[in-house]
Amino acid sequence: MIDFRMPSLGADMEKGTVVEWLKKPGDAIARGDVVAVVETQKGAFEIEVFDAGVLREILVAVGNQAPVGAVLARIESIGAGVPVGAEVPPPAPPSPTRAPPVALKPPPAAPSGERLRISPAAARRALELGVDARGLRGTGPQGAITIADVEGAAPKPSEAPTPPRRGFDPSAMRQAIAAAMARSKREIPHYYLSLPIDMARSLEWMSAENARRDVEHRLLPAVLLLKASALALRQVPQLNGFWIDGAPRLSQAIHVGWAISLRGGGLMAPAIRDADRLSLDQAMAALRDLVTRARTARLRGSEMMDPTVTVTSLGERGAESVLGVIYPPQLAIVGFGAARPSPAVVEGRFAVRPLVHATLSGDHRASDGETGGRLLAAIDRLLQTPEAL
Amino acid sequence: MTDTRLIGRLRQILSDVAPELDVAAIPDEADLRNDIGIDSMDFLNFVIGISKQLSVAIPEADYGKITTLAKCADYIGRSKTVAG
Repeated sequence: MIDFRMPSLGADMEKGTVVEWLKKPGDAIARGDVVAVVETQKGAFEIEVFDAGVLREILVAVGNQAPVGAVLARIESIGAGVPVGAEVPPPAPPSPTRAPPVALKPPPAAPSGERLRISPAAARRALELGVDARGLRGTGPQGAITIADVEGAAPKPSEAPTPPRRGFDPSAMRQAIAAAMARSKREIPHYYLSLPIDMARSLEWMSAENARRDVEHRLLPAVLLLKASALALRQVPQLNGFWIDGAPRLSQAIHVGWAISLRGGGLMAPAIRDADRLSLDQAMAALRDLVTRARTARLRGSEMMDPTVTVTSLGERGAESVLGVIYPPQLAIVGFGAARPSPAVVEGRFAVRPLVHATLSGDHRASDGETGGRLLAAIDRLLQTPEAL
Repeated sequence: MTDTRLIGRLRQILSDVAPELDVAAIPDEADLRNDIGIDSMDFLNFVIGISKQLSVAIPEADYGKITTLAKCADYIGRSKTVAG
């Protein structure tokens, strides 16, 4: 029997609320199936299992909260492997507490005494249609509100209001970031390095490449920075992994946590898995997909757990450089500022070149500046031959 | 001259790209990147949306000419005229 536990979706997470079970006792489960949806301070995430089996027992019902590591369900294994969350050391015995009623963010209205029975799909539809689900009579199992109930209550298209935004609670998100960043600065002795990188070759190559591509297959500078960082980490693996129990634990796989800012405040860094092995087109597709899902709250829990390093790019209009705060227990964060035309010396002469300030914040317990410097130099070298990325 | 119907369609495309934005509140003359917080990925998705829904492929070199909804509508109006 395997314990399916509340996963830790980041250093900042202490507990989560089960908002949906997608499987019921007796259901067969295939590796990679999403079995539950868990709501955290950073929004709702789909939780998969990495094992085949049969769901035997659900221990934490929908609407209830449980600490990280608490057993949510038991799965009878029919294969080898580890369920998501199994690596989390079990903390204090689970003591599920009653959670606030709903997963969706309702508009301010009359307080409801009892929990709303509504599936996330129906809740999502309600948000899209601007329907206050709490006023509805459910026709689903045990009076649960279904998509049909929601759609039946929606205003006719001509009178439909602008769809409200699906999102997250900015103040809860702020708390989550505060906890992780405070822990980082408390525990991790950061060192900081920076290197201006001449992006002329990369940007010229990309412009030429984009000119002959149709709109849908164009690349962004971000994808070159992502791929160069991932390949550089292959050369300098000391910065890819985690600090756990007083020692570095390096990772073979390079899963880049890509920092994505959310409108309305807040930040996430979900994983682009095996970023070093993706072609630029694959990396571009992965990046677009990830950004879209991050901003519409449709990420998977494993994407929050997997990153072995973080890369943050401020985009073309931001500040010149960023000295990042490491996301614990990772070992490093790579940062890129905006590319700006700047004075540079090229072959002994002054020239105006598009420079990007690449930075590295490293955990000094795990590596030294010499190692970090090699990573930045490797990124620089890789960006001088963009066609090889 | 500004084509309000075309701007309406552009608003809808922008809303598909960034559903969490209140696109109705974006002034025609607001700079999408600097004032509204549209990033390079959103902007590329906006250009893709224009290509799919309005059949106008905007080259990367012309991104500087479509920084606001009004400018974008003018640009599209002109390319449609040129295309016949």
